Amino acid sequence: MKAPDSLGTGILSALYGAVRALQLYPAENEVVTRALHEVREQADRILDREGGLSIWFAGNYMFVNDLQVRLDLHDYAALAAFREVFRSHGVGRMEADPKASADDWQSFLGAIAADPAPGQPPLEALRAELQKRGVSNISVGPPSPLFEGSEGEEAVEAARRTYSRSVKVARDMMEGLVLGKAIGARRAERAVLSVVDRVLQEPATMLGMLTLRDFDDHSYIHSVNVSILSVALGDYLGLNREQLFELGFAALFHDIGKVLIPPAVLNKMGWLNDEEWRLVSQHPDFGLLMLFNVEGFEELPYRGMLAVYEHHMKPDLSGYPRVIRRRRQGLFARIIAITEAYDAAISNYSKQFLPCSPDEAIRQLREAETGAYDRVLTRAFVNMMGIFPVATLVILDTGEMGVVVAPNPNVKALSRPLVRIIATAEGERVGDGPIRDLTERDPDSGEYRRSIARSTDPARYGINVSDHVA
Amino acid sequence: MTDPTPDADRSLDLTDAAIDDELVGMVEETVNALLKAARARQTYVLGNPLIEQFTDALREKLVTLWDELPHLSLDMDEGNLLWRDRTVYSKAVGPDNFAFRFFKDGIRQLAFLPGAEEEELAEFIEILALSRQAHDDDLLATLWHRDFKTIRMEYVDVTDEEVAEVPRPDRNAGAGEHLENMEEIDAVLESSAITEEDAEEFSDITLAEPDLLYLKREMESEWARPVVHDVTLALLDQFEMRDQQRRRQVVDILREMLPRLLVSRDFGNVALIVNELQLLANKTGENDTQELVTSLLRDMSEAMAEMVSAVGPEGTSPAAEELAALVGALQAEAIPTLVRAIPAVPNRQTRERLTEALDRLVGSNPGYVVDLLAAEDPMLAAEAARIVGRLGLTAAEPDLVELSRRPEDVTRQAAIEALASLGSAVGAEALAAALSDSGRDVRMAAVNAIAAVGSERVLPLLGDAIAGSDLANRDQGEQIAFMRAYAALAGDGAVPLLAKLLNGRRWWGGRRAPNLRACAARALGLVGTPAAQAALEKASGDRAASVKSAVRVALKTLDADSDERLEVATLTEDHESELVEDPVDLDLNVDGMADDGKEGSS
Repeated sequence: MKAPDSLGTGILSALYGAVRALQLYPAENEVVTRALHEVREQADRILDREGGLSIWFAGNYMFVNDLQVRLDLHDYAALAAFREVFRSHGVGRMEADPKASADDWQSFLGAIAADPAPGQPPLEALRAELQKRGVSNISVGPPSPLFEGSEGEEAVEAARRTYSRSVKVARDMMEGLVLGKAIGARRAERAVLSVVDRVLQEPATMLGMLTLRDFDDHSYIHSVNVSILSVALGDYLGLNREQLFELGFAALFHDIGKVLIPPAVLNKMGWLNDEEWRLVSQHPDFGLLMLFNVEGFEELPYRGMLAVYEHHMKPDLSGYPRVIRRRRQGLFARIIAITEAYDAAISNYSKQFLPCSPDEAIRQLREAETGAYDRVLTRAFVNMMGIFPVATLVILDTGEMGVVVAPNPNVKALSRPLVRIIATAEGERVGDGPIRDLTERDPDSGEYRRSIARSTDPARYGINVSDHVA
Repeated sequence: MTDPTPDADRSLDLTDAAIDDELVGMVEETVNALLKAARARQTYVLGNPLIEQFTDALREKLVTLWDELPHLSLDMDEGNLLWRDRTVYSKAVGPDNFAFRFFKDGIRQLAFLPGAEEEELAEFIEILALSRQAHDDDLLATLWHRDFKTIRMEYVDVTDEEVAEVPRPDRNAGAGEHLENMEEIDAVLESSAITEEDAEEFSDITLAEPDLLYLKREMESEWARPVVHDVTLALLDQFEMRDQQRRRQVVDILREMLPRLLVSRDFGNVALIVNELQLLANKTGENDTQELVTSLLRDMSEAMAEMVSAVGPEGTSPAAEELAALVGALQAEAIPTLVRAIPAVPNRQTRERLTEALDRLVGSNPGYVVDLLAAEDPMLAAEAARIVGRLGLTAAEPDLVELSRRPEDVTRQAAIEALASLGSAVGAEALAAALSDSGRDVRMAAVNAIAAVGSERVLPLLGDAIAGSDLANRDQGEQIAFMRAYAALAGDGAVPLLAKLLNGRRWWGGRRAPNLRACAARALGLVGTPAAQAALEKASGDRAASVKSAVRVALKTLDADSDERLEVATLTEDHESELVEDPVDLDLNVDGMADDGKEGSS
């Protein structure tokens, strides 16, 4: 017998409620007492039923006693926040046995509710704190690998295969459309579901793929990048796997209408004239109409088609295509608008603008004119990516140079990502440098060991960032 | 890969030594039970108790297994299922091999978790069984989309096509080299670096509670979004672009889309499309555009008429406004469907609206309905005849005459009724001929029509029919109809024959059958002349109760004025049927026996 969904979400919600209560009130407050009581009740239900309670996280999945907990909208924000609390302490697994007492729970949650102690790896610090508090029936462990052998390079290799396959599918489908050839919707489906799985399991690795820019036509790479970014943002927002698939599919083909625009116009350097702009701005129209006629796309959900059509429409409908019959820009389109803008900004896909660094792209999104993008979704995107997104080349205040390889697991540390050091303070390049968590503090002074002084242009130093993240 | 399988180190504390043969045997039995259940589903239709029986057996095996194992993970190669490297299922590679079915789609591991037996197992078996038939379906994709909680899988990409070589990262790139442009770094370090206060700088992007609420609302609203409606609006927006080629594209899409909307009974969007397109076409004033829209509506009319008139699940009938838009958009191509379907439409309002639409369409396209008079389907041809009659399409007379000669009663009857409505000379001849038709309903239609139209030319024919022996063998409803028609047309001239029927004796001295006499009495009552009254009074002592009763009623009728009598004379067939069915009023004995059972006893 396994804990049904309601028990899984019940215990997670109760734990998060207690953590929040402990963060806000003293331990003797009635709110805390009630929250702890709820935790005991929920835990006992599972312990009575199954004799043990384990909660673990893998990628963005959450499990209670090996059963994946499905989050709906109602639970997502709280439970995702709870996951981040665990992550900030480096915890991937928590186990409680039936002997766990009320005191054990209170002490355990009190330790988790506090910010990670500086000066040592957070998991070690937490374990020490639990020991100090005398918690013996609740234990914590590091995150588990998803599959045997899926760690490290193998995961990167798998992500790379998924990425290159997706680019190939995007290329074949779009070129096939131009040539009037039948295209394989099944291949596209496989590519997208693979992207979804990879993003869910190894989000940072998959986002690292965005740095692979020089091995194929930029337009196909752009499509895949937007798909990856959209799925990642969708996951961040709490979409379920099927919804992520729909979103990823729409994002992969968001620019499909561009196949009807002459390459001379698409690849024109500098500003477009009116006629060229008129043509380019019709690509969402072309996309919608084309998708209806693609063989094998009979089942393409209308939501996906709308996303293709509306992704330049803007929330205030001031974009294109012109909206005659008034309606709202859909959520998928608003997501794709943001992810596309980000990818376009950091790549040389658009011939009209020079590419900028990832952090600069984030800054541009933050400062975009009102109405251009959904403000809250933009915030969510920035939260997901961090102020310094993956692949940003940074100069640290230590004089070291590094490449951002992942956002910090502590979601509050927006400007303190994980950074791979690629050059010493003396300017000497290091091979396969160490990854540093910029939230690490000096135990003596309590100061951060490293902070980002500023980002910089890899070309200036002849650095290929993808060597260090992808 | 998809969902992660449980951590082997933690949850599967089995050493090689512990994997004894007994345990392997249990796994083997469980796998066999799984495959038997799948085969049962392949063999029998859903609901067959054998499927449930085999599935229950599998459930039992799994539950037993959970006492020994934390989960059941099966690996697969091309022809085998393996558990901890031990083969637990093996068969020649092919579509009947279950391992191969998974393997060919890239699935490399399946893990069943405790709880699988509760809810998801039956559906998994269904998918597995159907994968045998559905060659085009992708088992991996099907399982992926189903997203079982207690049955997980790992998969690989099995496509062997060439993909572009992705550059591999060189983590040691530049190792040992010295960075150039160090002046930038120096300059950065000389300026103030970011410190730990930085988090406050980003308060504008932190997701606060209202943001989370907003996102939650937005997602709820997205899933509640009427996507079909919004796609429809987008297509209509596109149609408004001043670009004939674009309009053609949109119309082509709608040509594919509308049938799907109709099948799903999405009348709201269909109505929106047809309404808007017509408005837009009129607004442009361009012939090309109007023709484009008309061609679409022509193509869709049959389907629209079909779906609007079909009985759907409750709550899927078009609303009044939708119905108005839909019937308003129907083109002549809908006529055959409407003709066929309208009589069966249960909803009165819908039936009336469709009938109005039909009449409008036939009014400007009579050819469609005239053509239907030659339809093989007798019901369709008959319905067409009724419409022709209702709308007075005189041009259809020759076709109606043709129809009146068809072998099916229903078509001949409808043709006769229509011809009667048209009131033409050609029609009158057909009516006369129909008095001796082999079909009762046809004769009734003819005689009622004759009574109503008043064709004196057929009087001799009617007289012959009444005097002849055939009528005596027909039901009383028909007898009444014939005699009334005769009375109505001949007036006082009908009295001799009717009186003879009522009071006369036959050559052997016997009288007519009581029911025939009763009908003659009723007809004389309608004539109402002194001669008729005299004949009735003569029969007032008739020994047959039904005759006596009919005479009494007829004499009472004489007290009514002539208008009332005429009204009575034009009684509808329904009323006549009522009379026929009234056992008190009528004697159903048509074989010449008197009420008392004696043949011509007086």
